[in-house]
Amino acid sequence: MRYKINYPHIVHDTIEDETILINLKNGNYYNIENSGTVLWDIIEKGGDVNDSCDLIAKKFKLAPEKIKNDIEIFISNLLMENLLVPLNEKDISSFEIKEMEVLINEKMKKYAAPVINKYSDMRDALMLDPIHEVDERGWPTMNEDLMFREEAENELNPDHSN
Amino acid sequence: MKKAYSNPFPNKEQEILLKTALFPPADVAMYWKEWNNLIDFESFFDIGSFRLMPLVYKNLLKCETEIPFIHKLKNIYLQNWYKNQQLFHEGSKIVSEFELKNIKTIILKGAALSHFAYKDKGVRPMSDIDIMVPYNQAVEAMKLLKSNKWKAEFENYIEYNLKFGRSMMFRREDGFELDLHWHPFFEAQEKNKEADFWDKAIPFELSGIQSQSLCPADMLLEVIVHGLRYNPIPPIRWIPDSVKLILNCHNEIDWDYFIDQTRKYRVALKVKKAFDYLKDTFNLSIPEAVDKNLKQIRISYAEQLVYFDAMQQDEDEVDRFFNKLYKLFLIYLRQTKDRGLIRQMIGFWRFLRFRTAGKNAFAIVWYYMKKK
Repeated sequence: MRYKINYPHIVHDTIEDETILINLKNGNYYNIENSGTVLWDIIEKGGDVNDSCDLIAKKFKLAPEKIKNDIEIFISNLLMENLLVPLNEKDISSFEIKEMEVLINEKMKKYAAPVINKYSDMRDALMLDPIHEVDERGWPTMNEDLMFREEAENELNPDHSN
Repeated sequence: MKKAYSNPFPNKEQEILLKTALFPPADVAMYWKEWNNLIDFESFFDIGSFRLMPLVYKNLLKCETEIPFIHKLKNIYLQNWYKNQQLFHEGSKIVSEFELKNIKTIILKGAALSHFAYKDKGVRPMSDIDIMVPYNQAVEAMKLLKSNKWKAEFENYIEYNLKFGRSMMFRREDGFELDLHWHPFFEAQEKNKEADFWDKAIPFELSGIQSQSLCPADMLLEVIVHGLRYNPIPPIRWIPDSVKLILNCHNEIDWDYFIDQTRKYRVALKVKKAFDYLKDTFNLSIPEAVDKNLKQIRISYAEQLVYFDAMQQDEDEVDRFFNKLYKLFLIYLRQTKDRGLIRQMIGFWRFLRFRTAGKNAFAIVWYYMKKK
């Protein structure tokens, strides 16, 4: 099965081993981790995700059913968030299995199930001090100390809570 | 309270950070270490330096060694990438609205530089989106913005800015800011007629919507002319803007045209000073012919006065009447093309009359004596 990125509503980039995305229609921010970054790359190039399952299973000597299941969950999340749309049968892709194999061999050093994280409260995330108020998981996750402090302040001053 | 203004040329710490952002990978880890020895990354440092951090991050990523604070730098980059994408998106909606009314647009500054100079959407922080429209369509563009829930930041200045300014700031309730230009910089005015930047403009797609950008030569001129002046926010980013533009658009810069524009808008002194600094500190290669041609441009007294004023931090003096008048004279000189002292004095008098809504001589003196 092939998909395409839901342009022009989606903008994305890959930084280090993380793919970052914005759905411009609603402002939601996403990051894709683990093998998901390589899968996103394959999808963008028009590759068939079923082929990628077989190649990943072969490379890491894992059960193809497990990989297939992981990838199905990942793709259904991407579809649910309108980040992808299915590619029509008539849309021809020039991305061949051999190229996909090279990509997987080069970029996927170990296998961990693809993960997509969604962040919808971006107004607060934009106000965060990125040096002091961000969790170890990275922006836009607020660090826990700050989260507890805000909760405590809201409990003490319920009128000022959002 | 008086504003603290900062020099457009960097101090020692800022210069080390700029080298971390711009030098080849072999040296940047060393500069980053040096900067961290001088400045505590986790305490306060100036906003001009903070705005360099996304670029610092991207340059440090090229190093193969372990980099202190790399994850925190990445946080700054990611936040900036998100902010920029939102600004590009909002900007593209405005461009579409203008297109529907046949109002031409040129995207200025950050959005265009991100694409042409940096080739990266997250390294160049922006606080607003800058869109230029033709001078004769500026009023129509402002009306359209107001009908789309944008509010002019200083409504009373519209008439004055149309005559002597270059832009108006608009803000929306949700916090988005837009700088609507009709000239790219103050010096680029010619008796309020449309300047020639439109003829050389190049196609540029903003978030999927077709618009235009200044040509690379005009972009470079705008970066230097706008950047080289004291500013409340340290304006040092003219340095990475210029370096990246010259490195990445070198073949597209029409240097003969650049020199003509420099001469035409009387900004040769600024350009010379900028190029001297970039060559000495960042080993930037500027074609010899450009240097030679720049040296041959005669610098008028008006240009010298405007340049030295832009390089001075003398806000304390502005409270005094004659200093206030002198500052106004420099504002007038910056944008006028009048030559000769007598013509300039007449022009300045008209400028003052316009600024004070047609007051007579005594009323003007009184107005500026009591004005804070």
